[in-house]
Amino acid sequence: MISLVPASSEQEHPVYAILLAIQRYGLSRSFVQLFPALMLVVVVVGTLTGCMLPVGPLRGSEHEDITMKKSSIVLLRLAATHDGKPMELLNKWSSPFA
Amino acid sequence: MTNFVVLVENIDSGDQVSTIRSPTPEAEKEGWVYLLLEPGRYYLRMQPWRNNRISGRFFLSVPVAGTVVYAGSLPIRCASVVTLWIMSNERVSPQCLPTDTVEDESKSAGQIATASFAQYEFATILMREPK
Repeated sequence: MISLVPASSEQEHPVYAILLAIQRYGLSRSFVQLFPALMLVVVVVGTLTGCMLPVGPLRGSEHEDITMKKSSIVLLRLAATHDGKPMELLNKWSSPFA
Repeated sequence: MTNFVVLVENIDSGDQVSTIRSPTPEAEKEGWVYLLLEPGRYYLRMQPWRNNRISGRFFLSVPVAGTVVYAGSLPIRCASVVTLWIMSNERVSPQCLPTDTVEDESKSAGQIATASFAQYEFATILMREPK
């Protein structure tokens, strides 16, 4: 007999619950069952976005800001010369290991 | 493409840092590179080319986070070119000698920092050879 009451493991792991729901009821029924949860996600994300809070993957500048809270930029120059003339150490030579 | 290897090791934790970046493509052509390091004490060594000699150790200190620290310029002298034959492709490699001294180019470093990292405070803390 199919239980309509979610098991404790399903409550703890929503992903398992979604997969089990699809298995039990089929995709369309599962969508109906999950529609309130999807609406909740939309409302939460919309609220956070409205409050200017970051939602989703970090953009480059945000990632840099977070990194710079823990680290500093250490700037160096590798000043290469070839027979006394300036040389592009980083780009000029082809690597035999490339 | 980078032909050199910069070896950075945290003195206290032994952690190694290998990610080297460049502020801009133009700065990269002049040899400007940077690393992201958490506050701490580090040893830095560099190898201009994989088969070249590795430099001596330089002591590097990062006092606080959120700043741009210019650690100095390392002059590297390269000489005659060695031709290698690998899989029928001609490749060239310079013979370079890593330096044992650190030069101070704070003015140029400040300009690089202003252009690329204007939002962070700039300081010069030159690397030095351990006593």
